[in-house]
Parts: sequence; C-alpha cells; structure tokens
Amino acid sequence: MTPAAPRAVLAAIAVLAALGFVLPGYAVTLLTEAIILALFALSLDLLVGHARLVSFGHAGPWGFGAYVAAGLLLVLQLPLPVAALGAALATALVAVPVGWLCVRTTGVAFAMLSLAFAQLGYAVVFKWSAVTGGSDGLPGVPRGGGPLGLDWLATREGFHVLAALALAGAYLIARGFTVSPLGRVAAAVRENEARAQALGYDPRRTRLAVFVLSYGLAGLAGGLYAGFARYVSPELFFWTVSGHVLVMVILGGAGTLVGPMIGAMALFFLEHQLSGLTESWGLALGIVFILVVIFAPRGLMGWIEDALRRGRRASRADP
Amino acid sequence: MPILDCRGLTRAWGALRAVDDVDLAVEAGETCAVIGPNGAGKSTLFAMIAGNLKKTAGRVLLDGEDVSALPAHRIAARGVARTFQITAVFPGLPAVENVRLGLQAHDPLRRRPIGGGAALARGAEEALHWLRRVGLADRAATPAGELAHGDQRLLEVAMALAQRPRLLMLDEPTQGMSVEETRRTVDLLGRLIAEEGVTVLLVEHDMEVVFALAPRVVVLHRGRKIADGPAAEVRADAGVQAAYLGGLD
Amino acid sequence: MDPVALFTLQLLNALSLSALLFFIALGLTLIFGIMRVINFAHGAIYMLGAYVGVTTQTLTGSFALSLVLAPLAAALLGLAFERSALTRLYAREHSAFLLVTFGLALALTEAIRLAWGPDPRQAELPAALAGIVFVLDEPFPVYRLVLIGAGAAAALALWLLLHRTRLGLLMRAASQNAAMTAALGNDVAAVRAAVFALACGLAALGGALAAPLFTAYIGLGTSVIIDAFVIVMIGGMGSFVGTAVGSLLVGFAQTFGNFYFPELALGATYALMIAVLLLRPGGLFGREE
Repeated sequence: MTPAAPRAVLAAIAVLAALGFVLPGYAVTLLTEAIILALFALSLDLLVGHARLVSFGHAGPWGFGAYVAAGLLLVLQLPLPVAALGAALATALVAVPVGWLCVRTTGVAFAMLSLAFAQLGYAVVFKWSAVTGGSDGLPGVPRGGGPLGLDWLATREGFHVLAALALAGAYLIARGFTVSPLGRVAAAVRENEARAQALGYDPRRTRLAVFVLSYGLAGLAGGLYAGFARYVSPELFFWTVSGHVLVMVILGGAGTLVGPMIGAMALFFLEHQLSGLTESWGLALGIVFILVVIFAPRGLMGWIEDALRRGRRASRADP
Repeated sequence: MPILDCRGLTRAWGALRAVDDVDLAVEAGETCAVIGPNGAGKSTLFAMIAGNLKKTAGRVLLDGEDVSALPAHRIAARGVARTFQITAVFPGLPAVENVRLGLQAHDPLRRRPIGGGAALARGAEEALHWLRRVGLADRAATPAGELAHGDQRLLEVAMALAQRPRLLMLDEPTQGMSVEETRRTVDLLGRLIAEEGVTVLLVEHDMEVVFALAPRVVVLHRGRKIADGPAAEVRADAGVQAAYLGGLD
Repeated sequence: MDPVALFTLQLLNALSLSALLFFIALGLTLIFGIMRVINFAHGAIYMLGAYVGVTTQTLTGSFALSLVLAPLAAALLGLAFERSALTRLYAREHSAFLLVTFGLALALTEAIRLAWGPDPRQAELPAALAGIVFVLDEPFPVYRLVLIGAGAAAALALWLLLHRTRLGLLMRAASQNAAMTAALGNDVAAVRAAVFALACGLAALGGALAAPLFTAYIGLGTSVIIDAFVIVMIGGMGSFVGTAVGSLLVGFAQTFGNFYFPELALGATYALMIAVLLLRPGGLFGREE
C-alpha cells in the first residue's frame, strides 16, 4: 500500500458525495445505501482482515446501532448526526463487555461466540415488544435536522453527504488505527500470539481494542441505516446479515480496508442490477465466492494490486 | 541480589513431576545453561519462568520481586525476553517490523491507537541497526516467514535483544541448524552477549554450544537438579555422565 | 386439558423435535470431530433433503423412496464438494473452511430456489403414518412418534458404525490424531470424504423426515443451522454423546420454553450457548482443545 492511498480514497469518497447533487433522485438513494454498506464492511474488515477474527455476528452491532439511533430519533427527537454518533458510542460501550468475553477465543470458537451474541440480540429485540416493537419493528423513524440549521441533513442530498462524511471519517480512523503502534501490535497478535505475548503485549486486550473499534464503526453504520430506511426490524440482527457483509469483505479483499468498501458497493450494485436481469444471480454469486476463497484469498483488491504491480514493472522495463 | 531467583519450582502432571523442587539463581551478567536429557524438564522450567505455564509449587523472583502469578506479557514487560524452541516470528510481517515490535514494547507511545508516527520512525531506524548486528540488514523488507530457517532464528534473537532485556532466555538457539550455521551462530551469540552485557539463561541440547557460551551449567534429570557449577566441573561430574549415558537410578 | 396429559404431549413433541435436530447436529459434530471445522452449509443440505424428499414423493408416491433418494443425493453432492473444494483447504487456516462452506450454503440455497421456485412445497404423508393415536385420551400424531423412533434408530446405527466397524475405528482414530492415523498407513483423505458424505446424507435424511411436518421452503436451512450450532457447541464439538444430549436440551428448551415461557425461550438457548462456550470451551461432553 503506497502512502498516497488514503488521499486517493478520500478523493473517491468526495466524488461519491458530489454525485449526490448530480444524479437523479432514485440513483442518489441507491448510492447512499451503498455508502452505508461500505462503512459496515469497512468496520468488519478491522476484525476479519486486520485481527483475523472471523466474526459471524456483525449483524449484532449493526442492528444494535440501528435500534439505538431509532430510539434517539423517535423518542428524544435528536438531530440525525447526533443520533448516529450516539449509536456508535453506545455500540462501542456494549462491545467492551461482549468483546471481553469473545476475544478470549479465536478461530471457530470466536465465530460461534460472536454469532451467539448477535442471535441473542435478535431474540431480545424480537421478544421485547414493549420497547422494540417486536417482530413488527419500529416504523416511521424521523430524520430530524434539529437546531443549528442542520435541517438540510434530513433531505436526500443532505443525508447522502452525511453518509459520505461518516464513511470518510470512519476510513481515516480505521486506517489510522492499522498503522498506529497499537494497530501494529494487533497485526503482531494476528501473526503469532505467543510471540507477541513474549514481547510484552497483552493479546486479549489488543484484540479487545480492535473489537470495540470495529463494533463502534458498525454501530455508526447501523445508526445511519436506521435514518436511511426510517425503519428498524429484528431482521437487522439476523445471522444472514452477518454472512452477507462477510461476503463483501472477502470478495473485496480482507485486510485492505479499501477492498471491502469497494466489495460492498460493487456487490450492492451488481445485486441491484443483476437480480432483475437474471434469476441465477444469487447462484453465480455463491459460486464466485467459493472460487475466491479457494483461489484468490486476497479478493478483488489483491487482483488490483497485482495488476498495478505488473503495470509498474512494465513501465519500468520500457521507459 | 540475583536477577532471576527460582525457589522450589515444581510442576506436576498428575503423578509425574516434570519439574521437581528446582532452585535456580542467576546473577547479573552471568550466562547459565540448563542441560539434561530429553524429558528432563528443561522446557517446562522455561515455560514456568516465562509465565506460560502455571506452577504447581514454588516461586519465581525477578530482581527480588515475586512474579510467580504474572502472565507471560507482564513478565516480558519486566525485562524477560525469550526465543522459542520452535521458531516463533511474525511470518507475514517484514523482518524489520518484527524487530521494531520488540523495540516498541518499551516505547511510551506503544499503546497509541492512532498516530504515534514518531515512535514508529524511531523504531524503524533502530530496528535496522539490530538487523545489521545479526547480519540480516539486506533482508529487512522480506516477510519473516520467507527467511531461511537459520535466519528466522537469528531474527528471533534480534527481536529479543531489541527488548533490551534484563534476562535473555534462549531455548535451543541452534536447533535445526547445520554444523556450519551452528558454529557461526555460536560465534555471533557469544559476541552479542559480551557486547550487550546481558544476563542469559540458555537451554541447549548441543554440548558444544553449551560449553562455548556458558561458563556455568545446571543439569536437570527427571525434573530434579542434579548438578550446578562451572562448566568444566559439571562436565567431569560422574553423576552427570551417568545421567547422559542413561544410568543413574 | 388435563395438565398431566398436556405435559406428556409436550414431552413427546419435544422428543420428536430433538430427533429431527439430532440428524443435522450429528453430521455437524462428525465433521467437526475429524476436520476441526464447522460446516456452514449443513442447514442448506438439510433443506435440499426436504426438497428432494418432497419431489420424490410427488413423482413416485413413495415416502420410503424419498427417505433413500434424499440422503443419497445429498451424500453425492457432499462427496463432490469435499473432493473438489474442501481438500484444497485443509492446509489453510480454519476460517477459509468456514467461509467456503458458507459459500456453498449461499449457492445451494439459490440453486434450490432456481430449481423449485420460491413457493413452499409439501407432500402428503402416507396413510399409515398420517393418523393419530390417543395418548392419555388426547389425540397425538402418529408421525411424531415415528420421528422419535427414527431418531433413536439413527443414534443406535451411528453408535454401531463408530464402535463396531473399521470405518468407525478410523473415524475415531483420525479425530484423535489425524497425522498419526495417516502415518500408520491409513487413507485419512478417504475417511474425511466418507465422513463429509455421511454427514450430508444424515442432514438430508433429517430434512426429508421433516418435510411432511414443516413443508420445504427457502429459509428452512437458515433457521435450523443456528439450532444445530447451539446443540453442537453446548454438547461439545466432536462428541457423539454430547450431540445427543444437546439435541434433547434444545428440543426440550424450545418446546417447553415456547409453551411455558414464550418471552424467554429464544434468548435462553443463545445465552446457554454463550455460557457453555465461555465456561467449558470444549462443550459439556467435549475435550478441551
């Protein structure tokens, strides 16, 4: 990864934000949803790619963030950005005890524990009708702008820009973490836990840090989604959601941060375009996913990096 | 006061006492080797000192402080560095980053979750210096997992030294090396130990290596300490000879 | 209704549900025992069994034949997948296996949707099984009693396979120490393939047995796989006895929980799974890894 990459990523996000003023309305709505999914996939990549903790429960923080934001918007009538940030903070806070338990393990046990916690959230939301609306969910989540002239954020374009800003901020945080001293330790724990411990690093606390950050950003994504869809339901917690975002991360290229964002947006648009054209789209996706896991574990981003390297070598050989 | 002071260390697996009431004190600046036939309890002793294994009985003191109950990373933070019998590096990270992580362990910015560029730059510079000292400077950017076996073991030594340890624990540092590699590694280790003035506890199978590096030798047999003294005396000890030849009952 | 009769009927309901869950959880645990991995596609295989079962019965009118063809089809599919995809992953870390079986679950679900369409399919039970019997003067479906018998028979058959046959011996040996088993001149790759095929066959048999009760629908697999995970995690991954006990626990918790504590039942099973994973990571009957 070259040092220029973050600037390129921010520029790309800025272009996405600007498209909100150019494209027709329905296209902007689609793009906004794609941006929120990119943020969701980015948050999972911290766990799956950077810490190599394969979570099958990322629907948990996503759903939790969505319900928190929905509550803040419905009950307290808070402005949208405040509700989304509140969702992120609340999710990160809950991730401390949950993560403390989950990161005792790695591998299959971690996958199962994270899954169980998300399903527990599903069960609670599904059954606790008095607060969560049960299986009906909570419809009519308002998009309040609040004071300070933030009303614009509740419009289609305004919300689009808000989502793009959130993605840019989340990317800067995630990227900053992976190259920071603590982020490097997380990579070391991933590579060899016993060795990292012998150097004086606490593997469990290091994994917990990644877990909390990842869950906080997923909560932000979920919070934005509640404002986007104006509706939350228990399905947000269901494990197939966790599986879906995992597919985005793996196809895009786990551990690259950029790859999962591209993967999420590409998958979202392909699904939207192709599911109308051909019924076998889902089958093709499943097969492609299997092939990528077996033959191209670095995903789309690995393929792009190889192509760039080949291009650079070719230009060097032919000045 | 000795840097390392083990008192009555014992580890039992059911009825088997892998390490049985072992006392071992290592003074500052000393290089002490622990030898013994297979199954003598060397690795178990090592694991207990490093905090990787619970003690059935006994205590470990570092600089006079009881660290018996501390986990491995807390013991490492108190200045104990180690290498592993089976090579343990960060295979996917560049060699220089492996060493830098050893240096970062005592950098005040080591837990910064964002930023910390100054610490990283400091570390990278110094890490290169350590790679140079073990002769791996030209492999700095190579992922550690792609280094030759012998080079990985040297990298581990560089990582451990980068921790600036009070006590360096080497677990069979020449394991799996050719005769020629072993000779070069012993020379290098001897030089580094002398230059750094570091205190060393060494577990080794190869007697040549032991007698080249360690003026003092401790012999374990079936979990018990049966000899402890200057290398030459221990070498001549009848009991030790018998233990190695399989007698002594 | 008389509370004793009510309780007895719930008990029989719980047992029949446990029996169905046992078919799918047993395959999961066999695979885990020998490969140390979780098969995410097991729910989809179960669903495939239900669909193949319904279609067989619709075409031939034979329920018995559906109980043969459904597991056979699933076992062949499992064998093909193990040979073509999974064998490439044994040297890699476990998460790759988790992901590739999740991919199979996606692809298989979509393939079923393409082949059978989005509408649920149901087949009629043969007359002999469709009746009711009176238990403590209360009517109870015969078929649920048949399921209990089938679950018990499967448990017995698997126990005999594991303890009385050469394949069973190899399976147990390979789950203890695959490298050593291979070093002794046994074809561990063949054992793995056999186990995966067998496990898929069992799940599909469960699906075919469940089809007359629950109908075959898209999504049958996604809900049942989580129950199976809970069972295997609680009982102990790789443990035969643990899987049987786990199936009973979950079957009873769901049946009685839904009846007596409908608000808490769903969450309680997940909470139980979390507690077991944290307190006894190997499960109640598993060994610590």
